[in-house]
Amino acid sequence: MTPISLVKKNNNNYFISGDLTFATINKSTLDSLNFNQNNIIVDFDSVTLADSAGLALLVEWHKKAKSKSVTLHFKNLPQQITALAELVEVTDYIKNSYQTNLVTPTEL
Amino acid sequence: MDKLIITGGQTLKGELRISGAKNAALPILAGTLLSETPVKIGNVPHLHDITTTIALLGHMGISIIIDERMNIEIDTQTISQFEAPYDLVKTMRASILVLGPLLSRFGQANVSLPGGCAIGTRPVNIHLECLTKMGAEITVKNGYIHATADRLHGAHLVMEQVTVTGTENIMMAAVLAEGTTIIENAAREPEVEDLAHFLNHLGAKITGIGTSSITIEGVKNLQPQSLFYNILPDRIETGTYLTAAAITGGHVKLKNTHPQSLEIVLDKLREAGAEITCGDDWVELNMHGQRPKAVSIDTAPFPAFPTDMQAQFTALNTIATGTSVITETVFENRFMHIQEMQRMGAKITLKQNTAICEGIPELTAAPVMATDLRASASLVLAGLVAKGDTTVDRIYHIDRGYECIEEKLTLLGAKIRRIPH
Repeated sequence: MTPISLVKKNNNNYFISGDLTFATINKSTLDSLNFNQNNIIVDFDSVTLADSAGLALLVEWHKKAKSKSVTLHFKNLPQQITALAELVEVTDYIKNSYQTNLVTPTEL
Repeated sequence: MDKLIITGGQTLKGELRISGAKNAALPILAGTLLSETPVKIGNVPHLHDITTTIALLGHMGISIIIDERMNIEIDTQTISQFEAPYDLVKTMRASILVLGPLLSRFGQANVSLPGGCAIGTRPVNIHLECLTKMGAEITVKNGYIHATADRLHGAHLVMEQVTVTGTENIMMAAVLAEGTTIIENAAREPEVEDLAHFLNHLGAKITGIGTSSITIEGVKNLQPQSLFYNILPDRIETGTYLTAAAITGGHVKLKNTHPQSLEIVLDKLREAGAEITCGDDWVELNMHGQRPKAVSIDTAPFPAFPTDMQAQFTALNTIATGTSVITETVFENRFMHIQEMQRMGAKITLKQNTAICEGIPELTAAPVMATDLRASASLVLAGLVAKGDTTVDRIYHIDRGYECIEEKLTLLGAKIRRIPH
């Protein structure tokens, strides 16, 4: 199990690494993004493992961003997350979100 | 009833986390009935049988708290009923596991005769005979076992045949009995070991763990302080995903598992051509894209090849190079998946308890029906290598034993989806 590390690179760029799974995600992960800004980019390039808990985290962040009118971009989403999004049929939801500029579709 | 649809032809690759073992979690949850103080159990799989067990404990008036990590805290101080009713336990054979602890601690138990998979008769008479020898008075009437005892006493018990739930039930009953109980011809399965370790954490005195002769020195009560116990990883789930990868020529790494508990399965996968590497809590299988070689198996109690992996290996053999002989010696009715696999084009001849399987390059998708837990899993595996879309019906069996199977297979690259009814 590789713990999650979320590093803020500059004002609005976050870089997340480690396992995004049921075993590693907790309340503090959910609260780790600062939504007091207009635009946030989260790069998942160094995520080693993900499961439905990872997808749920993404959805929760998305909802939070939407409620605060923050533009949230997810970069380099793990294939596991996108496959799960298809399995549980939240792809449309995410795609629709992109139309309001929350997620980049080419990365889904 | 939900269905699974599997589109064959994907090579499984990636990493997975293995869940806690259902077959350890169920007896351990029953074993909490012996504790006078609250205990917390971790690594509990989220499965239908676990939900049923929790509902059963709740029905007895027991206080249960489940946190967001599926850790379950159980406090038996509020128990008010000593009954396992038919409605709650008709689908779950493990209900019989509350008999020993209820009788041992509270001196009474009314337990519905168990249901469960249709894979054989699996009688409970051995449980009842052993409890009678320990001083219980037992009658079976209207589908219920009624048992009473002032205080059970130790006994020298020779199990007529190796029985996992029988060993577990008697071991739990003996923990609070007066004197020493010796169980000969005891089951040696890792899940039995895990229960024994759990009971010892509670304060029981059990020796000979993992051997066919288990000694239990009775104690007056169990009052552990702040006990947290993690269920061992599921060796059958591990074996199933390894076989799923092998059948597709894939490469997977399974974490949070216990490779030492499935050595014979790993040996057979090596024989099938897999490269296997292990650590303390992980196992990796790489088929290098090759079709598996046929492997013959004979099922028998642990440490021999587990009957719970027979169906999955039958699926593997259907598309292997060569011919295999599969002999089932544990349950008399455990080849029900073969007829379904034949509908997918598998070349299998069945003669009494032996199946002869001639491997073919590819199966053909077909609508198939799950008949028991492991048979269901084997049909999913067959679907992974069948041409077209395989529909597996009656998958409630799978949900009894595999946590999030479609999610986990999706994470490995399978094309699978659930069609809710």
